[in-house]
Amino acid sequence: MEEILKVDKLTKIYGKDNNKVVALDKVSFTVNKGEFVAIIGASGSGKSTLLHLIGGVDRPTSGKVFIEGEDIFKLSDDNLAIFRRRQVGLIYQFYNLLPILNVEENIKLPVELDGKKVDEKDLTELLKTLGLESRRKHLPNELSGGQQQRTSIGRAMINHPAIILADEPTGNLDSKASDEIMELLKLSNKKYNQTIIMITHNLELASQADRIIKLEDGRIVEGE
Amino acid sequence: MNLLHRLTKKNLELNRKRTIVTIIGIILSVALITAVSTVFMSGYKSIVQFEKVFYGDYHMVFEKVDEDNFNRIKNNRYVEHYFYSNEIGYSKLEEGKNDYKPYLYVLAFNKDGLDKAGLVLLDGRYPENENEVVISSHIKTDARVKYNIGDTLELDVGKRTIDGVQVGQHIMYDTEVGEELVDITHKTYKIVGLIERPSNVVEDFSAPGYSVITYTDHPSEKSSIYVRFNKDGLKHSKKAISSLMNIDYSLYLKMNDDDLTEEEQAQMVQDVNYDINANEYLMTLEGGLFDNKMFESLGKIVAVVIGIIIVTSVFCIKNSFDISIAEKTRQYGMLASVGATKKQIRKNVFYEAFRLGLVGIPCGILLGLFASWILIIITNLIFKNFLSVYDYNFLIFSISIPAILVSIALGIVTLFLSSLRSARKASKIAPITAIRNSEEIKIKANKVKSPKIIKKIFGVGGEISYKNLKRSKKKYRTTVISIIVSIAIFISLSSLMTLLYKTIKQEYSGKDYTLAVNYRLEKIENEKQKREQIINLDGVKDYAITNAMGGYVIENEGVNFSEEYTKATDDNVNRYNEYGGEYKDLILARVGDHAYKNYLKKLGLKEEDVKGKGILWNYAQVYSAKKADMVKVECYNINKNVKTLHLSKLQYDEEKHEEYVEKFADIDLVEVTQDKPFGVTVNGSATLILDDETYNKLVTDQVPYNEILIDADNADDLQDQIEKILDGDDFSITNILEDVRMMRALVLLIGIFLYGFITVIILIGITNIFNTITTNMELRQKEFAMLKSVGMTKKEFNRMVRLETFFYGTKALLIGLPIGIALSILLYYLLTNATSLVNYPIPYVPVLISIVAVFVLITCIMKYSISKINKQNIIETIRNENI
Ligand SMILES: Nc1ncnc2c1ncn2[C@@H]1O[C@H](COP(=O)(O)OP(=O)(O)O)[C@@H](O)[C@H]1O
Ligand SMILES: [Mg+2]
Repeated sequence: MEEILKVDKLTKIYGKDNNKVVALDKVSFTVNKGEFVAIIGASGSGKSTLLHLIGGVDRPTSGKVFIEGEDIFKLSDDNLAIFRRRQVGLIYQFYNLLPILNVEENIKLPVELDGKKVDEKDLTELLKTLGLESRRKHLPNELSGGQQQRTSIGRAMINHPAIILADEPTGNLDSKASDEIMELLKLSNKKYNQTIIMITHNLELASQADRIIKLEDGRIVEGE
Repeated sequence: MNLLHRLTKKNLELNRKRTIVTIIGIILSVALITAVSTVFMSGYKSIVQFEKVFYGDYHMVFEKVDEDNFNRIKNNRYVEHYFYSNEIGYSKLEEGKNDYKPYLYVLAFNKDGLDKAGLVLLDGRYPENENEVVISSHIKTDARVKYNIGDTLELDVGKRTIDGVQVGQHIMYDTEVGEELVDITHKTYKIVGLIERPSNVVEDFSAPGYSVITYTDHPSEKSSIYVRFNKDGLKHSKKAISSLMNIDYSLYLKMNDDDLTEEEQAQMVQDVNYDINANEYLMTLEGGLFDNKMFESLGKIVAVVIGIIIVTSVFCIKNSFDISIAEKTRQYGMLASVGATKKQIRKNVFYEAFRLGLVGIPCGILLGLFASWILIIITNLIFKNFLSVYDYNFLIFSISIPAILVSIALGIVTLFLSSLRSARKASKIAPITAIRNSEEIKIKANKVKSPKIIKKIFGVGGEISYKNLKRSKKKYRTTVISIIVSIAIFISLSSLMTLLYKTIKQEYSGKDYTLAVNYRLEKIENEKQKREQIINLDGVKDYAITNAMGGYVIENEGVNFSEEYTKATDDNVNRYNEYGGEYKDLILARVGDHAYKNYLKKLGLKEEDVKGKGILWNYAQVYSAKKADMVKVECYNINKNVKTLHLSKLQYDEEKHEEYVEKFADIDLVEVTQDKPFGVTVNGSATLILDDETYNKLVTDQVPYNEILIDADNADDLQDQIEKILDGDDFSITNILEDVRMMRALVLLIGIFLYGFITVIILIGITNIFNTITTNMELRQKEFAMLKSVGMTKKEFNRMVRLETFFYGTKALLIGLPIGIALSILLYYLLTNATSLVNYPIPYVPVLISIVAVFVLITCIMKYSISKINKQNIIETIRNENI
């Protein structure tokens, strides 16, 4: 199997001296292409930190992350940004959509940042998959939480990235909406052989993944 | 449009209020730059036009040249245009009252010459044939000979000769030297118009003949040719002049340096056998904008002013960007997290600037042009009111393309500088900031302790607001700094303006009268009655009946030249008067009962206290070699215990050819002042003002003489009436209405410009403060909502905000006021070489205005923001933050 992600002795320390917090402590693991991994752990165990590092939105204290063999922290900030928009799709608990852009525009953002045009057919198909076809011109605050989260999934998927990283994507949603989101992620995992790493508190949702990694105090205690 | 750009557009539309405020800032600053440069360029064009109209549209005149030279000059390659005049000759003006101007001087101009020689037609029309003339107005005002349009002049015209040599207008009339008119022919002219006295190129200041101008259509064998240089000639004026003189360029340079050998000099006299005169001012003006001294220094001032505008505006506009970045931190972080590069984000900020500029700069240019147009119209109205005689627009509105381009460029520079830092800051926002729910400003939890006194005085609300100030220093810094900058600039500029205004006023307000009538008492029949009649004429606003006498010397030890005086005259000999000694000169003067009483009132003195005593007007005008100009200074430093002036009089021993001093009198001193009575003009030394009786008793060696000085707006009219009253008597009358009007108009105008400028700078400051405070309040909505959600009442909340206002208003004032005052002192010393009489004016008024304005302004803006916040629902606000 093709290895798509390799995390190597990743360490992240916040603060100094007395205020020092070791959020991640030499975490190592690998993920293969097409895998659906769930990360679980108590609040404050370092899940988000790990995800941010993999997504390249933060830099580690030490350790490395390889995505498709690329050592991402060797990249300059700008190249990392470009790498991120092409190879990583991020999904957050609080959606993080731009409030002043409509659904379609939010989804198109990573492509447009690349200076490319979005293929209208692809976009329409994606919107259909997301169930947002009739909402494409709506602004985020005109949508329900589930719809907003589906928009952010659309944004994560538009560039067919190497990995989709989702930080408690259902944390803010009711169970019906949560199920829909989960279905969507599983669908893209199957249909496009999309690699997905998802943080969740919900053990039932986690159990639907191919593999579960459990963090405790910044260390992997299960599923390495 | 690309998505990022659309994002910017939407952002601007959504934040309409701030967008508008920012655009207003840009408009104001660009408008100000445009207005300053347009007015500058219009001023330049206007002065060129003024010179052409009033002094003539030519650069050089070659006087009475022969035909060969005439043709050579007119065909010279540096000449763009020429006209000529022929001398007809002099004719005795028998009834003339000016002993030094006994002639009429008749000369003829060709058609172009009448238009371009700087003749200003007051009435009638120009001559159209050789039998018609226009006469200059001072034949009536100065010689007091009345000719009217339509009159016929019968003149015996001849050549003016001294010892058989023909002379012209350049040679003064000297009653001691015999001169005569020869080759006399009789001429008959019809007067068709009245002109202003021609410029001194045509009629010298001391010319013996009043100009009478007729028409000609052909040059004579000795015509004067006036030439206007073409572009090339203006650019290489020295080359052009030497070529027109038909001499070697190197020889010309040598001559200019006074380096000619005797032979060369002799040769020169032989070759160049005609007089040459230049309309130098026009030549330097047109030679190049900044070749002209006045415009060079004006240009420097304009550059400084534009610099100030740019700095102020950059600061103001920068604030808007900073705020908008702070607001959009999440947005930029989010963009970064989906992979926007730093460059893209930077570009996005610049794009925002670009969009704002796209609206702001053109509007600013239009507004600036409009404002300067209005300003110019007002100026012309003012001048028209003051200079009713001419139908002439002093300022021409000129849209100068280079000035506009410069304004656009400076506007772009301003915007670029304003957005530069914000762009950098935005591009540095880490993607992680968008993801975390923590706010952008990191608060140091430790170390913020509010002094107990704060809690005691202001209560818990005070403590919270104090901590707020300390913790979120950055948030406040923008607001506090904008207030500081606004205060500092307001104070320094307004005290600079006051200084300029005072200096100019002092410079131009030397003469407070418009009519002066001089006569010896014995030459007027019924002097007393006629004098009464004159001062009671309609339109006499104020008057003084003056006389003055110089040549007195102060002998007191305790009286010394002031520092100002010494500094101003340091390196010139004037100070040692012509007799070689360092005399402390004094002039005695009286101003007549009326003006004297008014003077006492102005000084708050009682008549009985000053009777027989003197008031020292301690003010003099001296030549300063350093400034190459006359400067007005305080004259003496007088010791407090000098109560009586011991005066001597300078006498001259005719036989020994020596001068000596003779004891004169002791006069008690009541007051030393810089205020003067009406009618006295500044002299080379201080002036002692006495009451009439004392003056007449003391000054006995003088012919009884009166000078009646009158301030009147209808001076021309009044002059006629006075002449009627004194008809048949021997007197002279001077009318300086035009000069005085011009100066008063100038002072008024400069006031308008200066204060207009301050107003706009203040507007920029207010825009700035409004912008920062309202946005700051909006940014803190969540914090406010939180405070309310934990139970802070509306009253407590308002109290807290008020205290904050007080805290940072005070802070800004404590820093801003000293900086402003320091700057104004600095400007004062940069602009005056301390020879100025104007002392450093402590800017009480601007300081007071700043204090009041800051608190009023902040309170109003806060109220506005609070009313908006109070309308909002707490939960909404808190949730809104977590979109
Ligand atoms: N910016 C930060 N500064 C200091 N400590 C942080 C920061 N972000 C996270 N932490 C700390 O790191 C640890 C791991 O946090 P996080 O990865 O957010 O945990 P999780 O997502 O599992 O709840 C926690 O103890 C948290 O307090
Ligand atoms: Mg987390």
